[in-house]
Amino acid sequence: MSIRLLRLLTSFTMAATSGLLLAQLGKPPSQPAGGTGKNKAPAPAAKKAATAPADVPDLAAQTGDLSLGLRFGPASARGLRPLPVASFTLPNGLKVLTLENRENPVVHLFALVRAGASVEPAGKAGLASITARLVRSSGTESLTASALEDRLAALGVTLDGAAFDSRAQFAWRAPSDSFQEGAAILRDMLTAPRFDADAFDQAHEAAMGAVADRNNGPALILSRVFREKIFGPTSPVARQPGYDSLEKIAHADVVAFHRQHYRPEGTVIAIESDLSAADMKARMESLFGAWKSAGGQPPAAAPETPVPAPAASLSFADRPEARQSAFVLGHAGGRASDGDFGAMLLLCELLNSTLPRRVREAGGWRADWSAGWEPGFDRPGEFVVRALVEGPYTTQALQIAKDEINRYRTGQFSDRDLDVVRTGVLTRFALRLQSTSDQLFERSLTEFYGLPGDLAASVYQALATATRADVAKAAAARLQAPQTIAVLGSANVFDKPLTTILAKVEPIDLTIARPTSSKVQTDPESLARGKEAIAMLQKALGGAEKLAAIRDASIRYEGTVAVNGAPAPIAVHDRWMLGDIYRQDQVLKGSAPRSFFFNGRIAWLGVPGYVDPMPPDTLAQVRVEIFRLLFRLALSDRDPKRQVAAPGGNVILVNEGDKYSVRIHIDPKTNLPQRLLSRWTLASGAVVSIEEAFSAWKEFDGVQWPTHIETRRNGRKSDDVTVVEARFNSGLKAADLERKP
Amino acid sequence: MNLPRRIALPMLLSALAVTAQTPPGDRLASLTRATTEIRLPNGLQFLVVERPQSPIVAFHLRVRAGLADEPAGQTGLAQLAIGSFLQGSEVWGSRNPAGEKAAFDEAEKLLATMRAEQAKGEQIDDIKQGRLDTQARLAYQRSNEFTHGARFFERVLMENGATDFESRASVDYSDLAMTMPSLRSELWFRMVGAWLQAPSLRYFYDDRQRYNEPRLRSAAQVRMSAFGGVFPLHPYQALMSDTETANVLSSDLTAFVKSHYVPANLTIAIVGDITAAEVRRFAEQYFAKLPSAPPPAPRNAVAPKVEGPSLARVAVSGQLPVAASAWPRPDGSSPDDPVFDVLQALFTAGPGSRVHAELAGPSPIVRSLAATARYPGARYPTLFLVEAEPAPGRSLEEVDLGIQRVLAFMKTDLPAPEDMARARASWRSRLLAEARLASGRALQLVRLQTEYGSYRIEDRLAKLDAVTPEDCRRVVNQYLSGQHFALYQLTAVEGGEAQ
Repeated sequence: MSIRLLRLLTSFTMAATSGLLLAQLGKPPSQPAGGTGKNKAPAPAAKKAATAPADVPDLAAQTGDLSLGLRFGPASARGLRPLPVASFTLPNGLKVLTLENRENPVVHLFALVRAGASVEPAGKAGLASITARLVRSSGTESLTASALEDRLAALGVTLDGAAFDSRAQFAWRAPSDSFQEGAAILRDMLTAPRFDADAFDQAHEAAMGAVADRNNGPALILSRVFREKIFGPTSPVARQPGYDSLEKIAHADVVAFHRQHYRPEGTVIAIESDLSAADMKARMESLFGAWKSAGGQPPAAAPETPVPAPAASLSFADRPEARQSAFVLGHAGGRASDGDFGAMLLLCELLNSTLPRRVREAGGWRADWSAGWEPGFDRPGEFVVRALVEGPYTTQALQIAKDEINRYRTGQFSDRDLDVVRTGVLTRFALRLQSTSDQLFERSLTEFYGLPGDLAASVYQALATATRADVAKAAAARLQAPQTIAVLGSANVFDKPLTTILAKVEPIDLTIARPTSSKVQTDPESLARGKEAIAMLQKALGGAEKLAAIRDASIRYEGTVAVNGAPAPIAVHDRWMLGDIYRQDQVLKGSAPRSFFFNGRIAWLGVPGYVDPMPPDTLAQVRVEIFRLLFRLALSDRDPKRQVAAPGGNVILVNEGDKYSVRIHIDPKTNLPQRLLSRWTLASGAVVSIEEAFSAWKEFDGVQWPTHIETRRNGRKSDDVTVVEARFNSGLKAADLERKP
Repeated sequence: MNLPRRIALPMLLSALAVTAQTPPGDRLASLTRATTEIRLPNGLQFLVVERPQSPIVAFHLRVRAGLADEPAGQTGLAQLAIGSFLQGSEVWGSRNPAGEKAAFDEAEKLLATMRAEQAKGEQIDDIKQGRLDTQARLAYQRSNEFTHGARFFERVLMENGATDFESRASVDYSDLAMTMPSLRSELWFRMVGAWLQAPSLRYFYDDRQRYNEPRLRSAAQVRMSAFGGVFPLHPYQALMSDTETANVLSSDLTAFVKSHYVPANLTIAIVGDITAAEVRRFAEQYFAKLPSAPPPAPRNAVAPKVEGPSLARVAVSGQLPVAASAWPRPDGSSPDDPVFDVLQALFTAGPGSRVHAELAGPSPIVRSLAATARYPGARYPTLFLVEAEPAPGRSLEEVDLGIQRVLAFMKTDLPAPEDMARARASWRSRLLAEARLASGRALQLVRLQTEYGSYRIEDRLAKLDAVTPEDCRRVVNQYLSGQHFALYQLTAVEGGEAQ
């Protein structure tokens, strides 16, 4: 049996962040140590002060003054200092910002390119992301992808690249000593990326995989639905790549997109270093001066998609197994350059401080809140309240959120309320922008979007000085009564039906249109060739009768599995018995051991001392595991439910209806499988693809088995394992497989 | 404690530049040039970096006293001491310090009577014990009624926008760190000055309960406990047992703070939007009155020894196998200390290095390898630790033998110049990364000062750069060739089988 490590299909996937530091303030930071409910109002001024003895030295101490008797100047007395940034434009139109920092000999460089989703051709959503990924990782004319990574590592360079809705962004960092060579590599990546076909295939497969992952986790689903509702489904902010749009993207599209949109004019590069402005200018001229646009005239800026008029809506997806509900509630917001940005940030802090209080007053059930004013640079952003609540209190929590928003909209809050939140939000704002490189990045964004260079400093001042009247005015102008709401939860545990919040409840569509390429080949010739090919495969693996005689198998693997993109050590034990009784035990570094069991009727997954029914999507993977056990797969011609075809090119296709399909790439020298590509469809319609590369074949109990297996899941590197033990017909007992951990 | 730096071998190079590109007159000294040292007459040291760009200030106070300084049977004391900051000072947080103290003392007196009764052994009078217990609880509650509530300074911090707060006792040190809005930075001086002047025992029994968490919970700690036998009659012996704050008395806390929290035993780093002149003014105003006192004498330590059976096996549920090997070495003040740091870097120098070729080459024996020059601390004679996870299909014995082979060639051959260059690049890269954020730079300053004797980054680099290949060979022969202590952490793949 080959290995794809079973996973709980709960997602670690993060939604792409906007990179907008200013907008992330809605999320409370780590609190001072320990405990809960600490942020009480100060103790009442000493009622018993009259009885206190005379040796209390200080009235402030006696009264419990939380400023310890100190009086501080107004918050506006300190702020973000203007960055001494020098800027110049090269003759080719490239805008460069430089900042000198003599304290720390590290260079930070940010490159912003007008190559985001908003300039993708119609129907090709996903092209900007694939292109940015390939610019980052496909290599340059002189360096292959792996040589590039080695060289960057040797120079101590870290580099991230991604596309957002209106820009592609590359963040580069290196020790000063590596600047010259590291920056030349970055220049080559931006201006002449390698873009070879293999790299394109990988990036494309990864993008297809991301479509499959888009229903993983409430946050992804809710934010997609929310944005589609408030911006319209075709807006670059809301639209997401689907199988249909990705299948229209070919290698040539990436080349053309790069030619047209990666160009010096409009691009902004910002650099912090310990070199003088004059020195840096000379270096940048020599590095980037020769960059010429290849794609004719710069494309006209895409017209902004108008934001639909606000309308109340409530979208809902029933999750009968969910104990908690997740919801978002809000509407379109403003721009970073709006004068009331600071006031709205304060307002969200007020919401963040009082929403938990309202829940405590309502009985103290569990609820996590986060209210945010998340502006866009070149478009309206969002006002959003996110919540995770105990299922039975879902409508109560929604009502509390609506009531609180309404309270602030009508100005029902005090100066004291505002002062309580102001200090905290100022510190967090300053902390986010504490290093000069953080500030330079922010500054490069304002330059890119044509906003005032002192935006961050002026927002800080606004946070420091906004009065109750300012905040009330902004709230009245900005907060809207018609709200967009999206909810995930179990309807049968709700305290009241959602229709008590809004009469019309629309279902959230979680289906994903299937990719056309997973359709199965069925012409008679390829079916005939399939019979021949599979017979040769059987022979190579040890002979058809040897395979048919396998009653049980026990395989142990050790290696790594990707967890959040980084390899984590893992040890796995797979066991299978005739009758399709299957068990996998995993020990992953840093987690509790997990066991997965399925016998055709019962399916559970367990950790020591605790067993749960297996989630449907995990069960789907277990069924695929059983379907594609190599020695069983090789006998597919004996199973009437299965179809075996050989379309040519040393490929065997095996499928069972449209439930499972496996593509086996055969090594023509040995007739053993080189690669195995499996695809299957989850309940949601999402397609999962797993590709394994087999090597180092050895014989175990008369059966050939690969001892090194590398796996890509949805196009991304996933597992790399070595078989340390494989045994067939060793006399496994069902009772051992069934035993709960 | 110095946590082992675990680096998976294949990824190592990401952190370092291979080519020796470091220019003469090291560029990292620019970090020191931006630092001001202030020392008060009582011996208290402040290290200040002005970073006016953003209106916040990171503060880091370090006490040269940690878990290793806890007297026998008083585990948890160091954490109670540093954590007492949150309760306020004798004055701040009390509505009536005299009333509070009188009630608290009464509770203590009753508890002392109870303990005296308990010492009588079998003749304990249960009824009397019960009565004393009730009276003590009532007196304790009464003392709390004189306060402004629990964790007064925590509320001050919340109210004033402080963030990233940490109070933590490690093996050799205790740390108190936080970031404040610069406008309110005087608050830090007022709070910390008052607390050091007169710490409070407020809510002592609640805190004692709070910190009474088993120390031996994580796999790393379970592993550490197995090293207990290496440290007979040594301050680190106590780390190998669980925490039992229940034995700590309030008088123990008072005595511990009085002897260890003295100016000469503290280092404070302040980084952010504050000038050195402001720090000097506040330091004099709030800290000058702290009486100077000599730092406590170091405790007696019998150097760790490996004798008798030197192999332990532990099974940790849900963890993968690890082989850990340790060799006794002198404390951090030894002239050979930097050599151990270089050896640490050589052990983890990544692809291209000789150690990597031996252990993680084409037919790898280890999947990851980590070395820790100072384990678990370095204020006392300590250990050089190497930990390795076996590569797929390899046994812990094979890993141990592989490490022995590495040491065997280190005893005879000099490290290659390229390996020395890699090591040099690795610590430069790490020091630079640490210094980027204000809180990171503050921690770096106190670490350099307390663990390596000088806050000047170039002093540290000079010591490391001065280590020669001959030094490495000599130290391997001198310290890493005797008997070592090996620990095999076992596991079982199937859940529930491991113990």
